[in-house]
Formats: sequence, structure tokens, C-alpha cells
Amino acid sequence: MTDRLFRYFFGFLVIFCGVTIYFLAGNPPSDINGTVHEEYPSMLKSGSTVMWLDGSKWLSLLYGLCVIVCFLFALWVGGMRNGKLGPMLRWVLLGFLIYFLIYLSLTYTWWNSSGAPPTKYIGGFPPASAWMIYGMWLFPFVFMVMYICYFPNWIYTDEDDSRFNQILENGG
Amino acid sequence: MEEYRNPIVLTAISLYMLLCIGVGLWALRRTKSTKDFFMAGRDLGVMVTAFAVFSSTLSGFGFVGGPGLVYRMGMSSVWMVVCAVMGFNLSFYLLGKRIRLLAELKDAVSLPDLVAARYRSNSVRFSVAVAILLGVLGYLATQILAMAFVLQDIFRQTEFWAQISISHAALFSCAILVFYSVTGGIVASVYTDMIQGGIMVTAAVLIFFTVLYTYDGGFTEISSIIAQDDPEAIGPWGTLGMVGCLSWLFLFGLGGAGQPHVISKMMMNRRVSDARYILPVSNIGYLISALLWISIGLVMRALVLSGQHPELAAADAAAPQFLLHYAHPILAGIVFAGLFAAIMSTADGFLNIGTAAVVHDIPQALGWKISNELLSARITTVVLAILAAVFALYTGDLVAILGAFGWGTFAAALVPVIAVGFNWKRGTALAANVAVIGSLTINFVVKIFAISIPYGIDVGALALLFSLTSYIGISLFSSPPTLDVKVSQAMDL
Repeated sequence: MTDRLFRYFFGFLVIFCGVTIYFLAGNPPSDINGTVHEEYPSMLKSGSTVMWLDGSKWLSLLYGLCVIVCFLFALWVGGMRNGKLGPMLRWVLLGFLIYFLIYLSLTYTWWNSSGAPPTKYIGGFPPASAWMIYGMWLFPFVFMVMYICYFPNWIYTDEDDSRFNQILENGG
Repeated sequence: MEEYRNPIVLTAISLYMLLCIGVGLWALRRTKSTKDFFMAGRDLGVMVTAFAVFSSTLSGFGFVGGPGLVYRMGMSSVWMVVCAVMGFNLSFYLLGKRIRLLAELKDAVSLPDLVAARYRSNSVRFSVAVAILLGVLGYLATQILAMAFVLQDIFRQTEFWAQISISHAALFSCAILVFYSVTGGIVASVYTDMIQGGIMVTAAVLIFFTVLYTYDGGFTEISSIIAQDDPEAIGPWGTLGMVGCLSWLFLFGLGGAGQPHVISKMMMNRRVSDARYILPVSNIGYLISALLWISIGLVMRALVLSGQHPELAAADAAAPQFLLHYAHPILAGIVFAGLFAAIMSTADGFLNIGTAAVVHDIPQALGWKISNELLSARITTVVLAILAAVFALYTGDLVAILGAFGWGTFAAALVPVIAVGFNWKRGTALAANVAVIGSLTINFVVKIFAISIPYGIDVGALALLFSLTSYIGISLFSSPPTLDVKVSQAMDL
């Protein structure tokens, strides 16, 4: 199972590299990463955004998805025992589905913002930024709770501890 | 109270420095062997380890550079913080148990020790030690320089020290750091980290509420002022744009599992099962401390845009200017102590792993025997600090180049080799060497030749993607390696 998972992940990484190469080979507008603020030169002001570039818009969304899949893979590999994620599997998958939906909501909200100053603020921030602060930042605490809950029963059990002491004492 | 602002700040910093010296002297009695010096005898409690993990992660950059970036770019750099909760989780899932087991099994005193045991290869030990040393020199130099600049600024407000030079400020700040790092090694480092973490959390909470009450409407008013000038600046991607921000999410989210000064602390806790409690304490501690990063940057941008504060000479002045003009003098004292705490807690970790690379890892990889490692470690700590200070003061741009990509260098070089390799038996020594050397090359070439990457993609993210892909690809297409029996059994747990 472990090697199969890594084979799939390698295939996925090749796709991730492809998306990255598209951006590296691209020729975006010179102001895509902002310009110096005309009145306050110590600040930057936004320039063109990928929202206005059709191909880049969707590939940017895909780029973010690739990042999230890398996180999922890392968490999966870290939580595995003998090639299985056991009782954590459904919670990890559900957690990442929600995390991905938060990312989609953030992007969708941003795409639909008109570029004008927002009229609505949630928890002190415009809606898209609120998804970022209260969703992308805070939601992963769920995985922390899972780590705490599953630690004694799955991640490192008492039997593991005894087994490890055995390995230390007599080389297994 | 206002007229006492500077004496209060100086008193807070002096008290903090005295505390560090006290911890150094106390730790001297607990440091009797190389294992004590580098690994604290693998006997640290949950709280000490947890605070050491998060305070080492948040360097002076978080207190000075971070708010400066938010001021300059809007919400873009907030992604470096937003990924932190996920990042801590990934680091603990991947390494919390594994690294501690292997450290005890192999009686390791450094990360390259573990790498050598896992890959049964001295060449991997050597390449990892060199990668660590390169990153340490750059990172340490920038931390010393940051300390010197802040101290010089504070001293300039006094009559007696007004003319202090930057080299004298560097000498003064370095002396305290070196003192407790030499006397108490990692024991002093982690216990000062705990104090430093406490100061950082306190400072961040107080600053957050100060910012909240700077405007009657709190963050909504701050956001609204920024949005009136440029709606994208307060949008989720700030001025950098979506792809650049996502590359930071990737680099800073996954890259935490490759920061040697942080993950080496996971080798030092008393019991393997402590990881269960260390994760939440570290995660919450960092979350609170990071509030300072975001809140000062946003409020200073709003204050300047609304004409309530003159434009800053440089973005990095955001935090000092806020403390000078809007924070109560006692709070300013606490935050300045917190700033030194953030810088020193990272710097002492770097001094420790850099020293380990010089006196232990590189000689072991080359088959050399160092007699009296403990004494050599103490001498090397002093030499390394002096070298880093000289490097910081006299090599100009080179420091900035090395320091700027410290996180990216470590992440790209070490995430595949350590975070993936310690969880996957199939990873080979060849793949590890290619990942380390390839990622270092990408980082150096892009920085030294100042190559601009389209869409603002971070070079560290590129190097990390390359090293992950090459490591897994080469390992899959090579024949499986033969692992040490005990290491293999421990990896099954």
C-alpha cells in the first residue's frame, strides 16, 4: 500500500510540476505582483490579477488544489501504520474535503468580488479574506484534535511502547 | 509616563538579558556531556519542549519583518502565518513520534546522526550537515544583524550611548547570546526559549488589543480604510497575487517539517508520548504570537493611508513606529523584550545545530575523531557566533541573500530527506543526495543571479517541489535499500 501511495503521489507531483512550469513559462503582465503605491512608495498597490487572465485563473485554482493534495499526502503518510490509516482514514478525508471546500469558497468569493471596496465585513475582514483567516487558518485545528485523540490508540500505542523497549533491549 | 519611555524600554531589555544570563549559569551545572549540550539529555518536559518548538519557529522576522511585509503588501504575507496551524500538524504527524524513536534508538545528538542511521550513508550525513551549516550561517547572521539594529536604535535615544556603532551593538547583543549558549548549551537554549515564548505570547496579546482599540471600529474600520485605497490589498491575496501567495502556503505549510532548529527539539522530550501534548501547546502559542505580525502591519497601513501617521521611511519600521507612537511605554518595553526574545530564541537554536554540524557531523562523515567534543562544542559556539557577526557586518548583500532564503533552503533540502524518508523505507541515499544538492543549487542560482520568477512564485517553493519529486521519483526507480534492522523495526511502529 505504501509504495502504491507513493507511486500515485509521484504521478500527482508530475502534474504539479506541469502546472508550475506553465506559470514559469508564462509571460504575465508586469504588474501582476503589484506596483509601487503612487502616493506612498513604502507600500505596494495591487496590479493585474489572475482573475482577468482566463487560462491562469483556472490553473491558479488548480495550483492551490495541488498544494492541498500535498498536505493531505503528508498527513496521510505521517498517520499511517503498516500502510494503513485505519480509523483515522474517514476523518482525514472528511477534514480535507472541508478544507478544500473552504479554499473553493475563498476563491469563489474572491472571483465574485467586483474589485470595488467591499460593502460587507465578516469578523473585521471582507468575506473572501474572512474565509482565509477563519477557515484556512483555523480549520486545521481539527487535525490537531485528531492527533490528540488518536495518539494512544493508533499513532503510538502502549504495545508500540513495549515493542520499542524490546527493540532497544535485544535488537528486536 | 511618556518621558520615561526609553528608560522603561531599556530596563525591560536589561531585565530580560539578566534573566538569560541567569539561565545560562543555572544550565551550566546540568551540562556534563555532549548529549546534554546538544540534546538536553533527552529529558525535557512537555511545556519546555512545546515552547522551544514554537518560539524557535517565530524568529525576529515575525516581530519586525512580518509586520513590515503586511504593511507593504497587504494580506499577501499573512499566508506565511495562515499555513502555520496546518504546518505544525504536518510536522508532528510526520516526525513527532518517528524522530524521537530514532533518536533514542541510535542515541543521536543531531539530525545528521539520524540521517546517517536511516540511510546508512555518510555522504547523506555530509550533505545534510553542509546544508544545515550554510543555512545556519545566513540565518544566524541576519538574526545578529537584526538584534544589533534594534539595540542601536534604542541606545540612540539615550545621551550616553547615542553614538554607539552597529558593530558595538552587534558585539553587545552577541555577547549575551554566546554566554548562555556556551555555558548551558541546548539546556540553556530551551529554557530561555520557554521564557522567550512566554514574553512573546504576552506581548502579542497586549499588542493585539492595543491595535483593536486604535480605531473605534476595530478591524472592520482598519480593513475599510485599506479597501478604500486598494480593495485587493485587503483581499485574500494582497498585492502579490494568488499564485505567489499559494506558493508561500506550500513552502511555509510543508516546509516546517524541514526546519532543523525546530524539528531537532522534537528529539529532546522525555517520552515519545509527550508529542501528543507538545503539538497543541506549540500550535496555540504560535497562533497567539502571530497576532502581532498581522495586527501591527494592517493598522500601520491604515494609519498612513488615512493621514494619521506620516509615511514610513521603510516598511520594516512599521513595528518600531507603532510601539513608539501608539503603545503604552510599559507595553513597548515588554514588546521590545519580546522582540529580543524572538531573535535570540531562534539564534540560539541555530548556534546549537551549527556547532553540532562542525564538531560532530562533518567530522563523523569524513571519518575524523574529535577528542573532548564538549570542550570543542563550547569553543565552536563562540567561533561560529563571531564568524556570523563578522559575516553579518562585513559581507553586505551576501548575508541578505543567505538569510532571505533560510526557510526555503532548509525546507527544500530536508523535507524529502527527513520528513518523507523517515516514514518511507524505500527512500534511497542517492535520492536524498540529489534532493539536497539539487535544492541548494536552485536556491543559490536563483538568488545569486537575481532571477525573477513569474507570478511571484517563491524560489523555495520551486526548490521544494523539485526536491520532493526527484526524491520520490529516484527512489521509486531504484532498487529498495537495505535498512538497519533496528531502524526498520522502529519505522514499523
